[in-house]
Amino acid sequence: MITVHLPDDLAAAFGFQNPLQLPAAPTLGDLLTSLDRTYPGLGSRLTSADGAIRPHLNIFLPQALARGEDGPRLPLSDGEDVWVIRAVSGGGDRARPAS
Amino acid sequence: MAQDVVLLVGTAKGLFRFRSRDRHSWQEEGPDFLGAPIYAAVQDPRSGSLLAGVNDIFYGPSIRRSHDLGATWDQGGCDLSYAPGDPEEVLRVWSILPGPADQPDLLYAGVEASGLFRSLDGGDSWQEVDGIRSHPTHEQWASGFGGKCMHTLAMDPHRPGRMFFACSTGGLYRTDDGGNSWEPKNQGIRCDFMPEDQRFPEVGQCVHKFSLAAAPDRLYLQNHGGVYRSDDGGDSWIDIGQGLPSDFGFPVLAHPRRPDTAYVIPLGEGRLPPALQLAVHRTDDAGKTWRALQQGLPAHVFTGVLRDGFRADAHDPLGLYLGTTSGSLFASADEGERWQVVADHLPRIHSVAVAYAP
Repeated sequence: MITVHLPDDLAAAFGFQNPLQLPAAPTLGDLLTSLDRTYPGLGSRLTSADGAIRPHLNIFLPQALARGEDGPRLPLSDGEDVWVIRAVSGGGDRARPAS
Repeated sequence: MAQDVVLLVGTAKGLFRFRSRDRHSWQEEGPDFLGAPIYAAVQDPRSGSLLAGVNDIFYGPSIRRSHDLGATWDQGGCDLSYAPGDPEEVLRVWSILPGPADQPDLLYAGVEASGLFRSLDGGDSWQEVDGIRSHPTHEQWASGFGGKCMHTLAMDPHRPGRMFFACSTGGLYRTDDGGNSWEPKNQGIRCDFMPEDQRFPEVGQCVHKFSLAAAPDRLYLQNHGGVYRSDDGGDSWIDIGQGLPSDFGFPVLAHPRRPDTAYVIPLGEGRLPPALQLAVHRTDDAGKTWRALQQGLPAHVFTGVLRDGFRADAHDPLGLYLGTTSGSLFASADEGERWQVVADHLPRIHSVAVAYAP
């Protein structure tokens, strides 16, 4: 199993208690797909249409920080913890960080 | 009045609601989606449900629905996004338009980057409307300061199948066949931001807002410089801004019953009210003359009103509501003659809409 810790506002919106226990998945992208199957619509909160992790989110794996379009390709192992954390970028009104 | 008026106020940091039975005494409800920028929130007149475009910085845009006047909201439908690999991305929801009465599950949404979505199931799922981002003129669309946004949608109540959208920059477009084909309708609208010999292009205008008047084929339009009227469904435009202290501004509002009456809110240097007096200007003769309405509106203000920050209700006399970029909300229950403060110190106000509650 993989233990997934999501932001509390998402947990409240989708009606679950943190953390979630999900079946082991070979990659982060597979885990996100499983998450969206369990809670329809949750996946689109975390990734854009092309599968990239949204720019103001960080997903921490035990050995790596997953970001952008490469993040979902990172491998996962049974028993690991995954933390989805909002980036230090609140307060603005742009969906993309200033370049 | 048999119903309460409920103002839906979209701000840079959430959706606020203000409710009144008499349009003078207001009670705050909410707020909802605190922290999320809201550019569009409307009531679907067919069902009474509320629809809000929630542009969450962290989790992206969605269109949420409330079937109990804002007490609870759902998580929104799916597929409000361009296809994987598309060079553009859906970043924000700028406009929401419920469909006609005989198609109760049809909704439209205009988004940034400029494009149009349609839902055939009441917002459970969304599909991009074909023929718009593939339009031959699409490559001439660009981004204004607010973003490359499709901000205004309207269905013509007098002509079935006719619909308009406006995007900045890009201009005004019209379909007469229910959305199968679209034509730009910008002839006569000036682009002050172009060289002198290129100021009347087919497309590329920075239309800030348009509003359908009560008479068939009449529209009013506030451009990025220039206030206009069309009497032929947008085929041609007449400049009617000469009597205003500035022909720059964002909103324009046609009176829902009197076709010769329209309202604008001019902004001058620094995009501030001329002489720093917040004022609504009204024409009652289709733009020949204008009169400033400012009783109850503040002087010495450093604020503005954005394109969706000005709306009317359906009552007689007409109720008008405006929200400023410095977070003040004003109401008039007498067609704009006198104004009162509804709320102060809100976040920057993006949009105001009128809903009704039993």
